[in-house]
Amino acid sequence: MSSKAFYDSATLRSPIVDSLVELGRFRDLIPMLVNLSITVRYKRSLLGVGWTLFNPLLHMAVLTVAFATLFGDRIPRYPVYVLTGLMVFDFFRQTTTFAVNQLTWGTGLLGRIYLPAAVFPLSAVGTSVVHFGLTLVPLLAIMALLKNPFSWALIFVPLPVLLLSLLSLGFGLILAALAISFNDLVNMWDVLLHAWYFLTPIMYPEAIIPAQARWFLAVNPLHHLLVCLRDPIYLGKLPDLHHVLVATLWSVGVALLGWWFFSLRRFEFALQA
Amino acid sequence: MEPIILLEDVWLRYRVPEERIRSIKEYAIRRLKGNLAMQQFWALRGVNLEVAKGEVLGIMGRNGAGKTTLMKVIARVLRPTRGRARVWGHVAPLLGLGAGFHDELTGRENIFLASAILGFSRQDVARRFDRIVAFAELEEFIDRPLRTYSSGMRARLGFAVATDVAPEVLILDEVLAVGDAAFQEKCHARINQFRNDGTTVLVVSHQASTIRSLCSRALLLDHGQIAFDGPVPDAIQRYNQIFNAALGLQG
Repeated sequence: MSSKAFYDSATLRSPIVDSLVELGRFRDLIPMLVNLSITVRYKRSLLGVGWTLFNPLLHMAVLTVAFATLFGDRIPRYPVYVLTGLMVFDFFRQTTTFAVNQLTWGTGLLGRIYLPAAVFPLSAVGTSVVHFGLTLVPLLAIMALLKNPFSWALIFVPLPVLLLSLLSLGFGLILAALAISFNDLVNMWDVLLHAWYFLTPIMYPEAIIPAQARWFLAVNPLHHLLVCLRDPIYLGKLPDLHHVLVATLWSVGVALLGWWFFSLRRFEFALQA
Repeated sequence: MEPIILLEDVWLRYRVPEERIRSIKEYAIRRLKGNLAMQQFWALRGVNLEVAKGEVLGIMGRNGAGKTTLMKVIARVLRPTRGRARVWGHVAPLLGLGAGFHDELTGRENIFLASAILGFSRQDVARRFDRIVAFAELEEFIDRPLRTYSSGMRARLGFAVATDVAPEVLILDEVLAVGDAAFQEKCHARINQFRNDGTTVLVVSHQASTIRSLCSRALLLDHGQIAFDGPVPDAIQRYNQIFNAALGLQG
């Protein structure tokens, strides 16, 4: 009785800390789930992982054909501009929707054995990081092809990727925790993502946004993250500090909020199974 | 005596599935109508239980009496809505046999995945890998995808993974029907070995004979409460009474 219980339902730790501590014991599970999602997705397809590279490239090609004449004067090396934008947005879209899918699949397990539910959204982030890494290969190839400058500023790229991971994780955690109870949320999220995609300067230059809509640019975390990634890659310069600060504030804030919200609800998931 | 499981006034509430609101639209409509009161169902109602290290405890009760819910609380799958549950050790729930297996992965990959889901580190599993495969008798098939396995082979792999490390608490839910007769013999030998080594075993069963042959103490659950806790013969007698009373009501 004197010794500390291995499991105590009435632990006094805050849920935020408690779910982090629990995750430690299951840390080997996350890379395995990432591997599983990548393996399974491509196991029976002809191109295999090639799809990961092909998909954004195809998207980029379509947008280039459609808009290069429109924006080509203002945006030289348009494919590089568009591809960086797509990489940021696809990362966000994939992570958030995949976090929901992963947790939905995971509730089947959570109803039978104990494991920390956060491994599922976290594995969604891991999968997106791998995809992002793979897409860097065609990006670099296109940059070389279009004689895009390669600058030392490229070493800055990991920071926006880390921030993007945090932001996507935060949204993914909140979304997944809610989608377990409300399954029409995913459809709403799709619509929202669609709007978000067009409201972020992914395929068009920032300058065409009218003055009365500029406030949205200022509060849009994806815009700031995109600048942080695009400046070193496309322009070969470091982003302005204020973009880095706003992106950091958003990402860390949303990640903490998501972790807190998810931790509070983590015992509900097994009941929903 | 040193307890290994201690439940203090444990209550557990489910929301009744028919009443579960599955969409925001529905939630909004009900909210507007002021019709949000959800039906709830208490699966456990004030359970107090102390199990000593090395005990073999039988859990009896009719369908819906709360047996599986109680096991899930001990296995940490469900958190008590009220009350406190404590366990001093690792629980191997055989209710989760084969949890996390994936058809597209090979037997080898599945061993690592299923073990990680049970909370074992990769390094630890790598060390015990050959022993797991040998117990499951799957040496020739281990690099083939799981979808080519028969259900017996899957079950053998699941049992081998879940029981490779002796747990402090083992939960046996219903009859253990894993593989053919020879393999079942092996499973029972392993469970007996655990028992002799001091593992606490919880046996959930409808069958009096199973409880009688394995357990030293039995619980009888009825409507989420412990109706009896004590020697096996008395528990079985009470179980039969409750069962016959229920039959009488129907007839």
